[in-house]
Amino acid sequence: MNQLDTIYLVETPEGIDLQAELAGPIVRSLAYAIDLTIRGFALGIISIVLAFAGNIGIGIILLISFILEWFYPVFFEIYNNGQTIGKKMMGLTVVNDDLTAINWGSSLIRNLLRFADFFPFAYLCGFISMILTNKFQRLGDLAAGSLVIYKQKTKINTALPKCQTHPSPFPLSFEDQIAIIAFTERHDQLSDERQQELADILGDVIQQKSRRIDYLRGIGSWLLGVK
Amino acid sequence: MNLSRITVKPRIRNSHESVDLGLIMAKSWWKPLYLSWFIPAFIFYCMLSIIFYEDNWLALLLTWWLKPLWDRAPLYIASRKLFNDDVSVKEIIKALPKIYSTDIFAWLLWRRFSFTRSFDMPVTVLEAQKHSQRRKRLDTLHQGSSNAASWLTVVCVHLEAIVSMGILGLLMLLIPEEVDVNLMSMMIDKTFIVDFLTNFLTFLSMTLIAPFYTMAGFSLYINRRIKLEAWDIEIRFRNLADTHARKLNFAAVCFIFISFFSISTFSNDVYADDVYVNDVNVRTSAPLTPESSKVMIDDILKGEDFHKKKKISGWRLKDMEKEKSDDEVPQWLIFIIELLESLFGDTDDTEKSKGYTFANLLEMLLWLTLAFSLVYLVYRILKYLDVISPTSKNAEADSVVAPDVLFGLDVRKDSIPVNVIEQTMSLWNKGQHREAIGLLYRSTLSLLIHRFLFEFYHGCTEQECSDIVQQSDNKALKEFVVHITSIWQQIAYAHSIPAEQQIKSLCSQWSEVSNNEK
Repeated sequence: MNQLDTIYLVETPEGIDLQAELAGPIVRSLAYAIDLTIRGFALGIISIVLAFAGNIGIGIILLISFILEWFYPVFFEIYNNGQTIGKKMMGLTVVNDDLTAINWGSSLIRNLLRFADFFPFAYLCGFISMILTNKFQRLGDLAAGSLVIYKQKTKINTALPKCQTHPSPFPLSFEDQIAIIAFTERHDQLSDERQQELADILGDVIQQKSRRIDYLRGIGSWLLGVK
Repeated sequence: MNLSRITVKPRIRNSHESVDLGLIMAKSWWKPLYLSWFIPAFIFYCMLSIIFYEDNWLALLLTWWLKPLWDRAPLYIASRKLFNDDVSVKEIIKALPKIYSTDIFAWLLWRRFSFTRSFDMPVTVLEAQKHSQRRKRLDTLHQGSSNAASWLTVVCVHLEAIVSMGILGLLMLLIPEEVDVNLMSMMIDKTFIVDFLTNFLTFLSMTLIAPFYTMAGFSLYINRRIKLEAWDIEIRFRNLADTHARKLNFAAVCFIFISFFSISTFSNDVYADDVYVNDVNVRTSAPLTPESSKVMIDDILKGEDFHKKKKISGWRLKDMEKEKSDDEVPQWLIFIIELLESLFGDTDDTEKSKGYTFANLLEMLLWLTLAFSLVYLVYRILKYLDVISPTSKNAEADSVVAPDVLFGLDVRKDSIPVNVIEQTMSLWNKGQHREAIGLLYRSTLSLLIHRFLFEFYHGCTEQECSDIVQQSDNKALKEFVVHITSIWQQIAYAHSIPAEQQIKSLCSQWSEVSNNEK
């Protein structure tokens, strides 16, 4: 059964599966709004300063606004790991569609094609394209072969429950191991009743009449390498 | 709620990710979602349009106000679709009164402007929670997700505006210039038809966005439940329990079969023997050695799978440019001739042409400077990369490190014996003339390198070594080296054995040279 998800998978030539979580239009427009605000403020301040310089000042303001509008994202994407300030705040990053870091060519294409996404008004084409493509790509992304993904956070190790560790007496598939580890790690997020309910599902498998939660936590800790 | 039939991947997501998942859900179930939103809303809108014929904006406003109602049917369908249940139209129509009526006044009055509307809606529609229970439930669900839900509402409100304005703008762009309409005045004092059209456009953009908004909220709600109730863990645990139970069943069936067959085999010795023989065969068959497996790997690599051949045919342009340019005068030559013509061709005496000539000269000068600096740059690079004169640089590099071996002779300091003369003479007396002179010559080279610090580089010939020594002002050494080199060359390459007298004089010269320095 093909389950709906926002995961994007790439297999490297070495046979390693890389995965990334694709970022959709809502969070991306929030990031864009942040960038727009920053640009607006920067331009506002510069304009106030340069307004005293007469016609030359206006010329410089126009030049700066052009550069800000077109090259602000390029600059940040190249020199800040694919993250403009807004993207960084929303935890997003731009990558090539093979999940390598974005390069000059792709970044330029995806940002210069913003005018196509902007058409006819306020990125309407970009929104439609993001909804219709499978990888939430706007037109510029399609042309440049780039993606916007969530930057993976380093996993914070949660405190494991104290219990006696022991290996599993029965074979566990990879997914089962992950489930048992999750059961152990999320011990303080799930209610005790729910944990008991979950542990009771495996009653026949673990063949324990009582203290099933502790028994499963023991296996989970063992899988995580606790001695 | 059968979790094993869930159609989204149950995993822990952050709230923005689950909004994205909601969009995917809306996209893949778009047909029933859109229809169930659009049909009731459209009927309502049409009816109001007829009633408020003069004030069309009222129809739009009321339809917009009732959005919390229209959102409910798609939500109900999605909740069934989530567990892979198809809902018939009949079922929906039957359920509709109940769905629409739950908590309707609260939703249409004070909750209408709630920022977390789509996120809270499932609690009312699907869980049918009311009053304080609902409040408590929402408090649990809101943790960590209400922020994203609010932003979702903000973005969607803007999106609606963008869609209606975008479509309007597009339509205006499509009006040909020849058609004389004053758009501004049309928008300001609206005629009935313009009014009606813009209102309908707004209604359409509402329709377009609504299912996505509802689904994103629903997905946020589902995400919270996955987290709180550990759906992902439950699904895997149930799966594990099922496989375990199946295994147990299988083992029981196997046990019955085996016990049945073992009874029958024990009664018949022939079968037992056969089983034994088979067993032995399996054991004695050769195990895979590295060699045999390499052969197998090679066989597989030779196979079809690793040699895909592709035939590509098609039309392409021939390389015409190259053929043409062969018998033509090269472009740069034409340029130079033209330049010279313009410089020294028919010149007027006017000031202007003088200036022109001067500018041309200057331009040529600049070009020449550029060409010259380019050539110089290339030369420097080549020189740096050691393409132009490799020997000089090699020699320089090698002079630092004294060579260990010269033309096959080991000239390291510690390979030379202490008593060179005695050993040479003893070898000579044994009749090993070649070895004797070899040793002496080798010792000489070592002496030259390590004591007199001559700089021989790798690849020096005997003659070159000798020439290098000639540059010094030690006369005895010079003579000795010339002498021994010629004798060595004769015996090494011409196989002519020198007279014993010569050897003895060489030996005395050697000891003289080597002691002199000390």
